[in-house]
Amino acid sequence: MTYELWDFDTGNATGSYPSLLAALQVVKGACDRDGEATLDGLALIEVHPDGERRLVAQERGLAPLVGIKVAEPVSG
Amino acid sequence: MTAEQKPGKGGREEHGRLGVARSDSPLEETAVLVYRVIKGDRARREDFLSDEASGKRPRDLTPEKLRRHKGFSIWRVEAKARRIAQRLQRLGTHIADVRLPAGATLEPFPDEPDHQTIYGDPDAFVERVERVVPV
Repeated sequence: MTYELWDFDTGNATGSYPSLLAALQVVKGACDRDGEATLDGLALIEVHPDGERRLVAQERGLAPLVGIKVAEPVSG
Repeated sequence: MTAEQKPGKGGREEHGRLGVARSDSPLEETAVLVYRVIKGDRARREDFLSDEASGKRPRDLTPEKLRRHKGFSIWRVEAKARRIAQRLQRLGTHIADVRLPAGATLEPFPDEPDHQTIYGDPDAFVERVERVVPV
């Protein structure tokens, strides 16, 4: 199993990673540098050996996987 | 016959040659077709932008990923483009068949050589769209 990061806004793959940990480290590093805005459009994809892909998490849904607390939307 | 099966038209026969193309290897004007998932039934310049050109900050700062930040994703096999678009519907609704413009360069993903980053002028790709079909 490998993992990919895609940007759904642009339709481009950021990269392919040999493990979930490696992919999440990239997401964490990007959040640390650029804040939660870096999650916009970002998707983590699991790639099975037969080429089948499954969405693991996307955008703010990635935050808990990397220990980031995102700001709650302001209501009212 | 699908594009995937056509010898000499972007099918498997040519894959090996382009599959090992380096990002600094300019391609001649070729008959090779590549497949890009796009977000509408008409190809626009915005469909062929890199993350960098789209104003995205790089998420991964390693040299390979910084390079890919300047290109965009294409598939060498139409069926594979369709498969990922069906699974990940936010990627787009249509597939554009694009004849490779001169000067475009390709960089395969090591684990899946049919998935490649392509580098070049977005306008040149728009001009060379041959067909747009729904996913």
